[in-house]
Amino acid sequence: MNVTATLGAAALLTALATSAVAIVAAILGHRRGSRPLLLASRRAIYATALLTTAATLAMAYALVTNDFAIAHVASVSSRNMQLPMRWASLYSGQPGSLLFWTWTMSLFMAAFTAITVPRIPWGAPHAVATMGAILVGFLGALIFLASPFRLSPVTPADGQGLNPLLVDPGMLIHPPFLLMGLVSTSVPFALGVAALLSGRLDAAWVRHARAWALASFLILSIGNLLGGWWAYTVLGWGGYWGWDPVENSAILPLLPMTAFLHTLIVQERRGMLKTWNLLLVLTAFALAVFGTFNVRSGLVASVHSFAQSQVGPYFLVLVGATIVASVGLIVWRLPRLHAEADLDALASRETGLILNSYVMIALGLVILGGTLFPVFSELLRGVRVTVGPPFYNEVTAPLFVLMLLLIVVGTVLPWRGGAVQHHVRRFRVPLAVALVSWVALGTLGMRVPAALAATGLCVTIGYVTLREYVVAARGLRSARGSSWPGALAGVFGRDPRRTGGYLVHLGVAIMAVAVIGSTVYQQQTRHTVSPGETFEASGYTFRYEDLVARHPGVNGIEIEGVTRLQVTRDGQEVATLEPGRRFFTNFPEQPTAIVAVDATLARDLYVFTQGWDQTRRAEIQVFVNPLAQWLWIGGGVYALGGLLAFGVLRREPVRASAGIPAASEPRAADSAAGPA
Amino acid sequence: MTAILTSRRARLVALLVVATAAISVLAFRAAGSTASYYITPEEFLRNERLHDQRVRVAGRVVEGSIQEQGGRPIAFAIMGDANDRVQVDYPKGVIPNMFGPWALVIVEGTGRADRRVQADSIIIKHENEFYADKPPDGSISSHFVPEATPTATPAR
Repeated sequence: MNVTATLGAAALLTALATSAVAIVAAILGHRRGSRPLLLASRRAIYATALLTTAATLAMAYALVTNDFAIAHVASVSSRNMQLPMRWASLYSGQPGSLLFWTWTMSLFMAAFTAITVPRIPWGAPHAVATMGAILVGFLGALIFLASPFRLSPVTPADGQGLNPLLVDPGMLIHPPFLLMGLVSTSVPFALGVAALLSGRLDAAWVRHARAWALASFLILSIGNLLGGWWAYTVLGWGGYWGWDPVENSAILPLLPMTAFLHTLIVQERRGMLKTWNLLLVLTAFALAVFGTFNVRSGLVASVHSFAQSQVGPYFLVLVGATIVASVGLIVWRLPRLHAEADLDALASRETGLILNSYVMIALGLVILGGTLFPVFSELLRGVRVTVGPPFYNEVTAPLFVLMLLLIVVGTVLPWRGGAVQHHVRRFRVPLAVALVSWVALGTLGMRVPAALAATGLCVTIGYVTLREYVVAARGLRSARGSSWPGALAGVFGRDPRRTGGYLVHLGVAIMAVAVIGSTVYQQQTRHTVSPGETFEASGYTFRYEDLVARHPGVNGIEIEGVTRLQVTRDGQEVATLEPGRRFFTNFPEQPTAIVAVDATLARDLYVFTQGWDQTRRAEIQVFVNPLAQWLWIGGGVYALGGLLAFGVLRREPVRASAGIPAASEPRAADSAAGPA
Repeated sequence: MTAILTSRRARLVALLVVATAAISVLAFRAAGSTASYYITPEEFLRNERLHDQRVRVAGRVVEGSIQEQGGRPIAFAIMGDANDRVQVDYPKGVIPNMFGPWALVIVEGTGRADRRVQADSIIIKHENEFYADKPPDGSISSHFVPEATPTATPAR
């Protein structure tokens, strides 16, 4: 008997039981008004989190001790794998990723139960029962269809090691962030379901969902950004986003969650968009489950490969159940989901936020449609039709430009509209900034219309964002006599939700400029050279010195072959680059690229080697990606803005003062209203 | 009717309907112009009219068929579900990182007689699934799992 596997499997089975207890205790406790039962339901959630943690620790122990009797360990680890890479092994493969998903989801739910559930007496049992049901669903798959503790019939002396493409530092952080981001959508979902089940359909659930939605938004965003970074540095095709179905599945939940973060403000302030906000959180979670299904079923690859995995059909049922239940609840409560106010004006911040939400959903539908295009075409017409990057780029580009425009408009427009002359006054300088930017960029040689439009809007976003900070800081200076640095710090401290959000917008603008520069203006060349020869690429001179062999001896790497290149420009040394290929002992026909990047703020020199012959003659591919590093810088600004926006958790309301309009405060009617 | 037309909400809804229509038109046009119809090797071999035509053919790289020159694949065969094979010549162009035996590829180029395609680009689709520890025998995923190291230690 394998003790580790037995303990791990037992922990998961017990977790399934405690999840079921959470459901039953919550329902019975609510019906009978029994406080002990309600407490028991919450403790059952904590117990589930503890048990899944125990199972995860068991798997970690098995990986560290090379327990190859466990099939999962044998398939993703090996004796010469470094300890950090064994962390990546934990969530690799089907059972490992499902275990990690379930574990982190139970942790989120336990945190939600501890922090928020006590504050929502009107919906606590409903939320706990919903979480219990979700946990049962995932634990069921983990235990009965993809057990991570299944034993191998014969214990190998060594494991196969991690898939070559996963042997990279990026794999230590990208999948955890992405998986955590996906599971975190379950919390706003549980709150939305609690609101529908309990009948408490005012802004109460939205106020509690806000922080969790922000966390989900932030983690998902970082996960997607890290995925792009990994693709850029590992896959070796010169880009960071290929509109692959797996990539699309990762970004889909982020879109409704982003939309929700914007429209919840409208519900808080004006009591509008109740149905829409519920739909958004339910959709985000459904898309997260869909993503899990998509990457485990092979459905998009082919309907014929769909049946290869038992987990695929199971998750299809889960997705279907989630959608049916969500839609059913909303239809049931529809008569009570009426808005408490109407639009005061079309030219208002409310309209801007609604349009922003619409653009997010339109993007999501386009991406979802493109991802599932092959499935529907094969089912309906018997012909498999795929759409590739040209489709996505052509359709999403105008939507992204529209999104940038709405950021400008939404930042400038006031709540509830205003007189036309006030709008003219508010917009005249931003419009001037945009016009000057377009003229200047056009004069500098930017001729692609969409790139020109978008870049000008990004400059304008920078202006309106910084203007907000300056106006607010000026108000603090006149009120307190602070210095400029002190006043700016005060602005972020007093209204972090708004100022953090504006910083996220600034990050988006910076990333957009980076994407435009590194895709529209990318240059690429290919050269075949022998040692000692030189070639020119985009004004740089590359001298191929020699082919060098390296033997790292870890992580299953047998040998690395790198082509050493000296790069100069106008006689000045620029960099020494060593692109090459990495060969793995257990995966001899899956070498990976070693990409060499010389990065500056102006451009990336991105080089990789296709291959070489016995005379050491090598084929080398060079990309020049203008402004590529600004993608990661902009991502950092974006993430910082998201972190700053967490200040919304402060209890005391923001006081209104000169230059700093007060952030949204809970209305007295909302907090006084009891359960329906 | 006048009330509907002047209602702000109605005007916003009308704006969204127009926008949706515009996006739908854009998407359908883009799908029509950029969609990649790809045919199977069987369909390519059956249709002689595709010779000297631009084609996209999808299939799996046949193990043992890759010919290299200068350390770089220049020719290989792909096969479909019915095991029909098409020879692909690919003398220049980027070789995607995941290219190799059993990789699912879409080759685009000019159809030639003698069961060949003169390709100028290759797209790789990686397997969209986390395969189980031991994929079913004969499944595509099983080709990507190397042989386990033999040992005398039986499972406990």
